[in-house]
Amino acid sequence: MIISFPDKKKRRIYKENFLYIIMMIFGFLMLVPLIWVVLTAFKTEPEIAKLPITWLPESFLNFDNFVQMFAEQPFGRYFFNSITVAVISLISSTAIAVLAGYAFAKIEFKFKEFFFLLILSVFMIPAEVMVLPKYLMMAQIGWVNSYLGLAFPDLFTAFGVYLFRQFMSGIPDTYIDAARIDGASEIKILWHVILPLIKPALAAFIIIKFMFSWNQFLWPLVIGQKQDMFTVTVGLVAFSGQWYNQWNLIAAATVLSIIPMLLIFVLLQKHLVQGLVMSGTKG
Amino acid sequence: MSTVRLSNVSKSFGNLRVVSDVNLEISDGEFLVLLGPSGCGKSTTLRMIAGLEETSSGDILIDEKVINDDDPKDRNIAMVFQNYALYPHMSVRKNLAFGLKMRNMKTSTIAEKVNEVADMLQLSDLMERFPAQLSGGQRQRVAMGRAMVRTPKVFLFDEPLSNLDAVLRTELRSELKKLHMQLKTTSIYVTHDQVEAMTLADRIVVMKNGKIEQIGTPKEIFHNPKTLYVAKFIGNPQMNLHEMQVKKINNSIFLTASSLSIPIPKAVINRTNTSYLKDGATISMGIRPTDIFINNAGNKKGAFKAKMILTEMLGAETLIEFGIEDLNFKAIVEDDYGISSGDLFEVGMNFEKIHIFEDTT
Ligand SMILES: Nc1ncnc2c1ncn2[C@@H]1O[C@H](COP(=O)(O)OP(=O)(O)OP(=O)(O)O)[C@@H](O)[C@H]1O
Ligand SMILES: [Mg+2]
Repeated sequence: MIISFPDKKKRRIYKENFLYIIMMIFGFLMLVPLIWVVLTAFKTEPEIAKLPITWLPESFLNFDNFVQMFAEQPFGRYFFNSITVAVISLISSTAIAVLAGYAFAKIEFKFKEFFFLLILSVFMIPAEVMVLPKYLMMAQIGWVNSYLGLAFPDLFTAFGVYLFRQFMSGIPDTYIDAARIDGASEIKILWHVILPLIKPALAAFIIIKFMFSWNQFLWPLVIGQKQDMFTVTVGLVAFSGQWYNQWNLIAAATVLSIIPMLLIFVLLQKHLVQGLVMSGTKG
Repeated sequence: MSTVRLSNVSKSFGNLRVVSDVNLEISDGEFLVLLGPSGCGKSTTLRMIAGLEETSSGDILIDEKVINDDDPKDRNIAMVFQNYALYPHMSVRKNLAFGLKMRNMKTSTIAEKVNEVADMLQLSDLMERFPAQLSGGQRQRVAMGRAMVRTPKVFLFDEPLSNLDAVLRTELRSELKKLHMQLKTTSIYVTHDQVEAMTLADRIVVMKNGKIEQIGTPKEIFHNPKTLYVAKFIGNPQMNLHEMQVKKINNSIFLTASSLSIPIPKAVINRTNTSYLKDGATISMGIRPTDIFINNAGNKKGAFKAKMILTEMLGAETLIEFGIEDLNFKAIVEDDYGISSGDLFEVGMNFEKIHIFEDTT
C-alpha cells in the first residue's frame, strides 16, 4: 500500500520554491554590479553620462573602449605582469604549503606544535602592517620593480599550510604505511597517494590564491614603480584621474581582468565539487 | 624464502613500555601467529618488523641480517592491514601494480605479474573497479594480492580478517591457509581470535602486556598451557579453573577444596613444576570442559556427585553447567541423558588432563 501525504508534500514543495526564489533574488542582487560593468564596457562616454540611465548599450558591437584602453596604456604588458606574478606566487605558495602541510600533518618532529603556531600567527597580522617593512627589505635586496618583488608577499601563505594540514590529517595513516611498504619515498607518497586525495582542497586553494594574487593592489602599487611593472589592478586605477574618471575604459579593463579568474574557476570547479573519496579503508 | 629473528626487541612510547624483550625465531616458510588481547603489543611488534616503527632496543634480523635501520621498502616484506588500506583513487589493477611501479619494474613485467596474482585470487573481473565498488571480502583479496604480487620474503598480517562477518571470515581463513600451503612464504600473523590462531598457525606466540607468555604449536598451547593466563585465553568455553590446596598423603598428591578431593595422576605430576606441589600450597586447578563427562556407565571410580545448574543445547553437543560442592564447572558432553536443572547426577573427570598453575588469580 502506498501512503501519500499530499498536503505535506505540497507544503514541502512550496517551501523549497520559496527558498529558491529568495536565493535567486540575492544572487541577482550580487550580480547587478557585474552586469552593469559588462554593459558599460560597450557604451560610449555620452551614453554613460546620459540621464535617465539606460541599461543596455546602443550596440554590443562597439569595441571602441577595448581598443582605446590598449591605446592609452600598455595593458598587454599589465596582463603579462599580472599573470607572471600570479603564476610565480601560485607555484611557490602551493609547493610550500603542500610540503609544510604534509610535514605538520604526518611527520613527527620536535617543536611541531610550536612551529605550527608560529606559522598561524602570521595569519593574524594584517598584510597592510607589513607593507613598509617588506618594502624596505625589497629595496635592500634590490627587488623593487621586479617580478620576484611583486610576488614576494605571496610566495608563502600561512593559510595554505593550515588548509593542507587539516585536509591531510584526515587521511588515514595506513595509506602512508602501505605506500612505504610498497616502496614509495616520501615525495612519491605525497605525489601518488596524498595529492590525489586532497584534490578538492588543492582546487579550492588554487582558486582562492589566484584570485587573491590577481586582485592585489597596495603591494604592486608600492613595489612596481615603473609603468612596465604595473599590474592590471594598478593600471585600472590609472584610468581614474584626479578630476575625471574614464568610466568606459575602467569598465572595459575590468571586464577583461575578470576573464582569467573565470577561466581558472571553470577549469577547476569539477575537482572542487567532487567529494573526497576515502573508501579504501574500512572501520 | 626466509627466516626472521627478533633478539631482545623492546619498544617504548615515551615512558610507556609496550614491548619487552621479545625473543623469537621464525623459520623458513613457517606461519607464525601472534595472539593476545587488545593492547598487548602485537601490532607494535609487527610494525617493528615491517619497519614502520623503530625498535627502542634489540635487533631484528631477516635471513640473519640485521635490518633495524633499513627502510620498510628495503626489507622486502609485504603487509596486509586490518582496514585494507587500498588506495581509494586507484583501480584494483593500479593498487596491485603500485608496489611494482615504485620499484621501477618494466611495464610489461608488471602487467604479467598483476594478471597472474589476479587470476590466483579471482580478481580478474574486478580489475577496473575502485575500492569503493568492492565488497569487504573482495577488498581483503585485493589487499592480499597487493602483498603477494611482489613475492616478498615475509608476509605480515595485522588482523586482516577482523573487519569481515563471521561467514566470510571462515571462508577467507581457509583460503589464506591454502595460499600459504601453495606459496610457503614465511608469514607472521597478528590476531586476537584464538580460533584463527589455532587453525592457521604452525606455531602460536601468546603475548601478554608486551611479553611473550608462551610459544608453541596449537596443540601444545591447547593441551599444555604453561600459565594460567594462557589457559584462560585459549579454549572456548574457557577451561574450568578453581583455587585448591595441595595435600600430600603418603606418596600420593591430592587437590582439595572444601570436601572435594581430586587424586593427581603421575602423568600430571611429571609435567608440573614440583615447586607448585608443596604440601598445603594454594594452586589453580584447571580442566577443560571436554575432559569432563557424565558418569552414566556405572563406573563409580573417580566419580563426583554433581547438581545440574543449566544445560544448553549447542547442536551436536550439549554444554552443561553444574556444581560439585560449591564449585561450578562447565562441560561439553555428547548426551545430557535428559538430566535437567536441579537434578543430581554423577560426573567423571579425565584426571590425566588436569592442569596445575602456580598463580591463583
Ligand atoms: N604511536 C603510539 N604512541 C603511544 N602509544 C602507542 C602507540 N602505538 C601503540 N601504543 C600503545 O601501545 C600498546 C600496544 O599497542 P598495539 O597496537 O601494539 O596493541 P595490539 O596488541 O595490536 O592491540 P589490538 O588488538 O587492539 O590491535 C597500547 O597500549 C597502545 O596504546
Ligand atoms: Mg593491533
